[in-house]
Amino acid sequence: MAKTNQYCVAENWGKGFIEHSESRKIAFSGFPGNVWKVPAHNKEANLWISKVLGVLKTKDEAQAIVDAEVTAAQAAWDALSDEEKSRNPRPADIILEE
Amino acid sequence: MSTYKEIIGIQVQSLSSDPPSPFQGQIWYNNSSNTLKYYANLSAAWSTGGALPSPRSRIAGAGTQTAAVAFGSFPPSWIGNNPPVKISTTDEYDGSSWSSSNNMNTARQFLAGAGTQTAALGFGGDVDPGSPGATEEYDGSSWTNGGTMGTGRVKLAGAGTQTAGLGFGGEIETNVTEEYNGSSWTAGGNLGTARVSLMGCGTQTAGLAFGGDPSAPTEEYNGSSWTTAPTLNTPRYNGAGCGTQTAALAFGGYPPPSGFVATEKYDGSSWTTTANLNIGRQSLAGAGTQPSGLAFGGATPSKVDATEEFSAGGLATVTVETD
Repeated sequence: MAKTNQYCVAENWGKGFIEHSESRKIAFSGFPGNVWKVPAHNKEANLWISKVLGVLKTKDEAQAIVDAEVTAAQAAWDALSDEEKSRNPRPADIILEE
Repeated sequence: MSTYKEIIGIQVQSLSSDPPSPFQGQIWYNNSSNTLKYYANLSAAWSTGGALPSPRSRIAGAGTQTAAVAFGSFPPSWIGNNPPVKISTTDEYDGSSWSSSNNMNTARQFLAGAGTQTAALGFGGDVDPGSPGATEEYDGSSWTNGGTMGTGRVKLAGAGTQTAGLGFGGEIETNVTEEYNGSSWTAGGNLGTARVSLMGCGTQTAGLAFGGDPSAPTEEYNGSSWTTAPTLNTPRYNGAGCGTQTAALAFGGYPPPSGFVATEKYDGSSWTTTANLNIGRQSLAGAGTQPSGLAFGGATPSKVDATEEFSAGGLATVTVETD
């Protein structure tokens, strides 16, 4: 089955990283660890990855990067006092799509 | 097959400059810039803006998309701090980058903000030590202490200006509303539904409360009482909002994944879903207007420094890109 999404790692440098014109053409999803999901087999998405010097990752590689960030956030939450825990829910796992 | 002229009524013109009043669907060739252009109704979209100097969540903000101020928050690293340290950092945005300004007098998180970049109001929040009702006024350079809220609280929402502010809701599931006149707070009409971690925007006499925990309807304030309005399509809390009572924007929030990215606009009677945030998050802050909103900070769950700028789209000239 042809994959629907592709993943890359790229550092968000701020202004110009994602332009409005790109956001209108591409469905972006940013995840912890500078992981980005964009459509696969998509010329506009490929051009954007090239622009931001994105390093392509398989879905499993991207998932591992995200998991590491989430695990760290969960560990930090677990170390909080009960009062602090009551103020914010425990960070949820993030499952990347194919 | 129909031709462009048959559909539009004119041929594609070669012009030395863009037409002053193009109509939707018009295509022309600009022979000065050698570009093909058209006038189209663009969809809404978020783009990235300049990054905050440091990743922060549970942050507050005020101002516009090109002149915003961010203050307070949870620090970038908090493992081992129990309770965590709150911070008083203040940063200003000019539409492309953030620069540091003078700190708040009282470090805090889960606070509320209102006003403009040169006349902002920061109030409430989790402070340690100090009063959760502490209020501070920013003049574009430094903070001075203002009047203390009658009901100090955390995870509240704010609206209005530095001299006509509005604070409502907050921990622990309160419905208390207070109005600020530039020096002191007085009681206003209670929210219909008590809630925490709600979002707000508007003015002291035309405020808007939406989202929150527990999930509750939107409420509109007229300066003395709240009336119920439709609930967000994606119920959530710990999100952000901006705009007015009749042109509001809600974005981000908990729970993921839908709450993290959802953006909705309010027209005074109903909420409509619009373009998602590119970087989903909660505990972020907002500023600006419905057509030109600003989102900054938050947690993904990692704390982020990311800023995003909302464009409502609309009619605009577009240059055709060629390979």
